[in-house]
Amino acid sequence: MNLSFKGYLLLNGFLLFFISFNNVFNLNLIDLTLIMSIFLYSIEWNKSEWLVPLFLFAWGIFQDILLGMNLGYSGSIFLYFYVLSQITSINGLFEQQKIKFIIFITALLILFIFKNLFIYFNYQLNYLSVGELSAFFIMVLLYLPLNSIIIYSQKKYEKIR
Amino acid sequence: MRTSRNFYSRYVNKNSYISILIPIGLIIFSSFFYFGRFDNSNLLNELRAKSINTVYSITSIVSSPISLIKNGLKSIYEIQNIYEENQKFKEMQLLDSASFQEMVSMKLKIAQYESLLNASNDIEYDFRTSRIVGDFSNNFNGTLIVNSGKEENIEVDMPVSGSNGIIGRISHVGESLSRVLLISNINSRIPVIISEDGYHGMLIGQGRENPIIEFVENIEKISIGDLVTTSGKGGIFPPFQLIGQVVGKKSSEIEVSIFENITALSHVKLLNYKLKKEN
Repeated sequence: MNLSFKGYLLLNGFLLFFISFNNVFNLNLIDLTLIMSIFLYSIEWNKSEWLVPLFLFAWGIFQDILLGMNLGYSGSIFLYFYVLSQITSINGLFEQQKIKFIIFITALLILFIFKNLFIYFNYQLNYLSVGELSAFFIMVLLYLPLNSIIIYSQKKYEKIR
Repeated sequence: MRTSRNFYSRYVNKNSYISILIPIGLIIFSSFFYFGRFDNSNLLNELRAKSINTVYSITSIVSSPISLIKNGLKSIYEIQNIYEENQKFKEMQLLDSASFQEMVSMKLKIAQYESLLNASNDIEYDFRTSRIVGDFSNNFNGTLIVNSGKEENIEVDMPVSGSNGIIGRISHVGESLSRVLLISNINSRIPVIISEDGYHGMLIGQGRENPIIEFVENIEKISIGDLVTTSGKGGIFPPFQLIGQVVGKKSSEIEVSIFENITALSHVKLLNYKLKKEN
């Protein structure tokens, strides 16, 4: 997606709107940070894009301040999925939805394992629970409809342009 | 033609690398920041406390339409429950009046005994009621935002309780908003007493609903259902404040169910408790 000034405004507006959802929804099984990551992974970004990562980093810090997380947590997750999107795009895998889905699950699993290991070694706490596993599977299930919506909107946007 | 195509592909490749290298660099920087926990420094803590107001104001304006709908639906649901609760309340009223009288007479008795023993009266404190404006209790770093700050003389480490028991303490104070670090937060540690026999332990947040107690003395003597209260050690929490009760027991740790349903709370009490130091 080649972004114009209006595009950047829309993207930032969307990010702000989505982060603000945290004020209203407090759901144990749905992690809004990961839903945002699905969006970031599903969008086909312009290969020469360098402003978006800076925006994501800044909005990550904004979300961390709002949620009371240690600074850097949300930004790392946003950028992780953005990089994955860029890598799939550069390697020509973006149109192959099955491979893209497998990459998403693998990436989510790596993130999930990494988060649990970090909590285990840092706090001597086994954070893994039924709730945590359910949240993981809900994210996997949510990927398919959200990805379809993004692909549809992006194609429509390109057609209008 | 060939030269221009090569130039184009090289240009695109170079840009592709940049588009990956910049976010990777930022990921490394973010991770370094996160794992290094530099935001626990005094300067960043202060900056963070100051920015709560701005960040929350912006997001609350953006989310206000959805928030209005959500609150409207919640109000309808609450009205439905009021009639039922009113019936129950009428039934309970007689019982409550008897137990209230019993409590008052016990309190008078304790006051008399304390004066006879010349014991220090260090559990007297007032409180400020504050409204919860942000509930982020669902993640492992569970926190709340309440609408009281420096303007109302709120200070860091003030204990926070609901109507049924302690739920956490103030961790950051902004101008008109403060952040509450919940009992369930992975960083929360509270010295507690278990059962009437007063066994000491440390209540540790687990990032989920039920915290656990570790470092418990005489764990074998503790039974399911025993009450857990604050011990007052450390001087942050007043002693004998209800927290919850024991619901599970392992060889070295105890699982506690807290009395307060945090997600159902709309207001909290910020206790103005400071340990009186006797010289």
